[in-house]
Amino acid sequence: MALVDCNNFYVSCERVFDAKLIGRPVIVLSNNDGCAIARSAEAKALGIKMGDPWHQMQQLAKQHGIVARSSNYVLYGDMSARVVSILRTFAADVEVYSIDESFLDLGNMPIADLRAHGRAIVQRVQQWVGMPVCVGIGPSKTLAKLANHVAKKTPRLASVCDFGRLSPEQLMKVLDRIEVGDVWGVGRRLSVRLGVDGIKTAGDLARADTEKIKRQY
Amino acid sequence: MAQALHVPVMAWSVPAGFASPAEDYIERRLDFNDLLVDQPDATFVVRAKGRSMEKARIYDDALLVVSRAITARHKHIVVAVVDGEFTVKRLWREDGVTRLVAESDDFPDIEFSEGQTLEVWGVVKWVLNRAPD
Repeated sequence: MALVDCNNFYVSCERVFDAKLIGRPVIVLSNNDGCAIARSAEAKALGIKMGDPWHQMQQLAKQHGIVARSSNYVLYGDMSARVVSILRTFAADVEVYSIDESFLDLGNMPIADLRAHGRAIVQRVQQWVGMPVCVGIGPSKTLAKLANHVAKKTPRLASVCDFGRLSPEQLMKVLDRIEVGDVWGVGRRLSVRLGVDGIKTAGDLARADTEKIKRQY
Repeated sequence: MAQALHVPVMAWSVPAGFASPAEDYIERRLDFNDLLVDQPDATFVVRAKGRSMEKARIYDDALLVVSRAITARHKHIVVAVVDGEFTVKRLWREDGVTRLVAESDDFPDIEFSEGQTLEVWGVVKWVLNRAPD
């Protein structure tokens, strides 16, 4: 199972057609409210949060050259369709999870090197569509999503992380470094409750008694 | 940005004189996607502005069918990004030197020295110039 998702999807779509936006703090605004619905890494670094209203960041915008773009859903839909179409050539089945994320069932495909397969996906999507993506590979959807999270946060992995390569001990070490709130399906409130019970990392969650977790949460 | 167009067109050439006797036997309409697009996921349509490529028969307002799936080679007409701006030029790669050549006496070529990066956005496959009204 692989989870492929686009990096900063809306902003990346805008950057394909305007190279001047690369490296600059960019936000995409919602239609009516003029609130930030997408932020580039540079914009996030300036402390801009999802939903922040554009008119309230004028000072910051002038200081740091923040560029705001109006959302262009026709463009985003088209770019998403291109990415999904490309992904279909790399998997037995593709489940489109959201506009910028898809699960790839690598099923019984005779893939010798999953990491190389992931790299091929990253390279083709980058070349054909100009879209940067990360690929997480694992034996389940949850682990694929966690692997994707690791791929995103670890530059030296070159956008691909395959949990299948890790021994159980190595995998636990990686899971111990991931906050439980980053696990798919664990929201803020749940992560607080889990934290109170001593479950603070993905590793803690993995080690916890499954039946007990199911009952209590 | 326009997408590749799907327009049904009669599948035979029409001489400017009389109707073809095959008129009643149309089996398949010409599909411009089949004609012009090899890799739909990597194909974009861009409008050319200006006169810098007239000698290559790309005129102002021409529609360019551009593929990002092709690795650009010497003499390809490309859409490139220079200093953040899009430009359409002929790629020139010779003896280790890379240049973007304008196809017009009135426009300068763009040279790239060591360390300067040229980003090729895509390769132009088809040029659609509208016939004058």
